[in-house]
Amino acid sequence: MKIINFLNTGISRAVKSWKGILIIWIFSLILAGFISFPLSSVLKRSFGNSMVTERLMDGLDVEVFADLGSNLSAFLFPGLFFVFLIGFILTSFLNGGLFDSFREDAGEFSVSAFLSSGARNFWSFLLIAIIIRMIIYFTGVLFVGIPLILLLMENSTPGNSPLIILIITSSLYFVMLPVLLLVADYARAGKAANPGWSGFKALGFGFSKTFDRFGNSYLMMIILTLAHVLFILLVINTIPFWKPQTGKGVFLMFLITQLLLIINLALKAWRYASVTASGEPYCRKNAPVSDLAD
Amino acid sequence: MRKNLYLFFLIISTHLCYPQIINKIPLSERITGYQIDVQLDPVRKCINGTLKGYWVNKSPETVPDIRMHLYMNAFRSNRSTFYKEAGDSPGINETDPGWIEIFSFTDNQNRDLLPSMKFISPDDGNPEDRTVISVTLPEPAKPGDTVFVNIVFETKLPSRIIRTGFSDDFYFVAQWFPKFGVYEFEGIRYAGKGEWNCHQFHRNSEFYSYHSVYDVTITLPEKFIVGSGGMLISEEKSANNTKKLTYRAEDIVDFAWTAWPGYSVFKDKWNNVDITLLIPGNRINQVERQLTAVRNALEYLDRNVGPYPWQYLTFVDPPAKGGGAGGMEYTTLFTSSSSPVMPPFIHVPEMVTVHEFGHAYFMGILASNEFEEPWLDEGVNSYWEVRMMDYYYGSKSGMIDHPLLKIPDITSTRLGYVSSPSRQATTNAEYSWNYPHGTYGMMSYQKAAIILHTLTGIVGEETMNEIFREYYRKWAFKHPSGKDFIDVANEVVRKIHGDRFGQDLNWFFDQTLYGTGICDYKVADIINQKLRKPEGRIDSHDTLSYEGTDTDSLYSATVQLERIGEVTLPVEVLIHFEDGTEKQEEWDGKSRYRDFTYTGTAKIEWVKIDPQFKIKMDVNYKNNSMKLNPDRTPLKRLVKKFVAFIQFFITLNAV
Ligand SMILES: [Zn+2]
Repeated sequence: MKIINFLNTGISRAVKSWKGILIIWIFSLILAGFISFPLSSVLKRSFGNSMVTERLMDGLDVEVFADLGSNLSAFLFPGLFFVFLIGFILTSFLNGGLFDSFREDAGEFSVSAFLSSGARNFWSFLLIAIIIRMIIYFTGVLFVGIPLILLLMENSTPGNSPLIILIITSSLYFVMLPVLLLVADYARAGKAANPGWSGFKALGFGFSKTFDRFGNSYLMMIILTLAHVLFILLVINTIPFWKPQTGKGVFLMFLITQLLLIINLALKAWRYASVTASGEPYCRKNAPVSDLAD
Repeated sequence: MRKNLYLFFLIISTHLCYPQIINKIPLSERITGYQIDVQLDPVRKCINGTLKGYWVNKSPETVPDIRMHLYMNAFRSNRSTFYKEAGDSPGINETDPGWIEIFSFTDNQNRDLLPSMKFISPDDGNPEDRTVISVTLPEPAKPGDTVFVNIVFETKLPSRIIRTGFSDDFYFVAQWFPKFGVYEFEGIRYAGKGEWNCHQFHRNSEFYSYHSVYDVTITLPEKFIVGSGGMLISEEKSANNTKKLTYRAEDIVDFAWTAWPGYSVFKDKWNNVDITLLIPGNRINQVERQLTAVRNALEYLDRNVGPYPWQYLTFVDPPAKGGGAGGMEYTTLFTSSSSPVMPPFIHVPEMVTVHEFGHAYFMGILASNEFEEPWLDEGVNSYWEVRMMDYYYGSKSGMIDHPLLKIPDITSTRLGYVSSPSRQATTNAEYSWNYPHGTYGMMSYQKAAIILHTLTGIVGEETMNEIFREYYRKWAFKHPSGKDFIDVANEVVRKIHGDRFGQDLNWFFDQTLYGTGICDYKVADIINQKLRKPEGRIDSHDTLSYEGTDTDSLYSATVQLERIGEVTLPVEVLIHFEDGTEKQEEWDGKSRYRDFTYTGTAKIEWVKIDPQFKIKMDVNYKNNSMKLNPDRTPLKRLVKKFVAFIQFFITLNAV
């Protein structure tokens, strides 16, 4: 029952911070604009009055883009790298505001408080995001990538063992993922409640908190991630296949993708807020000076 | 007369030595034949044994020597021509290099020919290359003579598998024994006076060989599962847990074989052809795909080119450690390439199978010289590969068939050519190892295939089938050259179409196959000019009648077309007017520009050159069409989806 309480609290706190969710959405749209506007103009200029784009009506056609040669990829790949990098840094900043707004004693949501706590928590949040992301990638290679390569390199039959190994290790990986998310979320909730903490201290706190009340929080995280994964699967299996044939249809598609993106952000906020609620209280609110120097 | 007498005795004698076993009548002249008896030494990675071979001098000339390929010596050291061209090394460990040693070389009178054997390097004079030998005969071979040789040899397989070699307990053994070159004389390809065509082994080259008969006995440990290009005649147990396998192959250009304990064997049948597939046991899920692909290829080439003349074929999907042996052809044996995890929407394994099987025709039956005219087997074969893949796996999805991305084989092949930065560096009149700037693959596979697809666009698919049927009828089990193929094309096209495409197709092949130009047609502009009533001082009578017409809506509508490339090909032009009417025009494509002007009440809305994309050689499809107000919906849709993708990625990536 505790879990349901936390999830409910998570919903109400996420709803209370709806403005924060919208701010993140707007930033993501602006960032995407850094690529989509030049892309759109390169495409328009390159195709001119050609009708070859008709061939895109039914879906991607590599031959259509091949004629654009390297001018497309020349800006696209560096551009994407830049936007993804900035995106990672920016979301760390904005998450700082979001976690702060989810605190039990956060009071009314205010944009200025959101941004200032984002700034205050920025370096620690960035550190936590980088470390957890690295662990996720590294263990992904270890638990899924290498067994997959072994399976592909495997030469003969003896009992399909590489396939079984792959199934076991990748299951382990997916079992482990929610743990890593819990660590990241507790670390950030702890940091938001204790502004004096360093990123590493917060991360250590995240680990200990995760295993402190593992049973409950793990189950809760499973529910949260499952809901999010199902939602993402829904998006992946619909939007890419939707091929509106008119300008109005395309605009409608754009509105719906943005709506889906907001729901995606809300689901994430729900996770952050629920985990925050489940971990309360977070140490002393007024930490002694000696702790600040930690 | 004398020659005929020789031939008579020859036929009697060789047929006594090599009786008919598989094919009721010989498919080829069988100018060479081999009886090989070898043992596989799995410790030393060597194959030792004896070879009895013959070569018949079918030329009208007296020939003083014989020449043979020792392909395995390409892997001898980094000083071989093969490895010099590769800029690489066969490896530094003792077990790495591959080689072939000849311990004894005698004729049928037991005369020692070793002293008169020397290594020669006809292509590059490299003194350290040992891939070709010349053996001066005790007596020159007169027309009709048969030269018999008895050789004791040892072949060491290389550890770095390039088509052939070993890896652990996996063996793929190809082009592995002393093998006769081809003695060319007038009537064979471009030869004037007779001479041996026996090139060194190059990094970018395949092979050239007589159709031969093979009786091969292989002794090896019992644990091995063996596949070969021959028919298994007998299998006996031998001493020390070994077995002795005897194979017979007829009218093929190389006897290759593979041995590995890990193969699973699957059998299938298409008409009267027995199909055997050797595949690693953990790829059972790939078996049906592979067998279906080979049955498709058999059916398609049988229908459109000519019959597959053997009753069997074996193909091999090598294990990952033997991946270097994958994707290669030895007529009745070929290798494919797949993996235990291969999503069904990726048709690469099928493509490899269809392609390598196709070589049974283009190089196997039609044994062109792959050293000198690689396009004639790889290009022609890639042309058929594309046709088969896009026929059986979807005209839009021959290579990739996913709801989000479909790629036909014609597209991947065309892009290989049009997107190559060196697409104009050279022509296809190049020996395989001479292609500059890494263009061997692009030129001999993709460009050549795209040239033939362009020709299909011009003369039609059924005419192309007829060209290949005639090519098969005329040249099967011989050694056609590019010129022979073009002659057949000229003859067939003229028979079917008269002089619709000119006296012959040389204008086509000279520009495409033997030229460096590109083909690119472009729509420069659409101009709709309103015609005005005569105004001002009119001194002459206008021939246009303005009576009864609202002159404000009369237009002189023009499309301006240009040829940017050097290659001139006939193209269709489709012009669409505002009122929905369309005009189909033909342009011979020769002049640098061509305008089509129409006077009427409707403006031109759009124009397309080659609306059905028949001219696959056109290097840029983008400029082939123009519309005054083009519909940008697909582009907008794409950009909007891209925006959503970026946003989702950013928000999900941030933990
Ligand atoms: Zn090939």
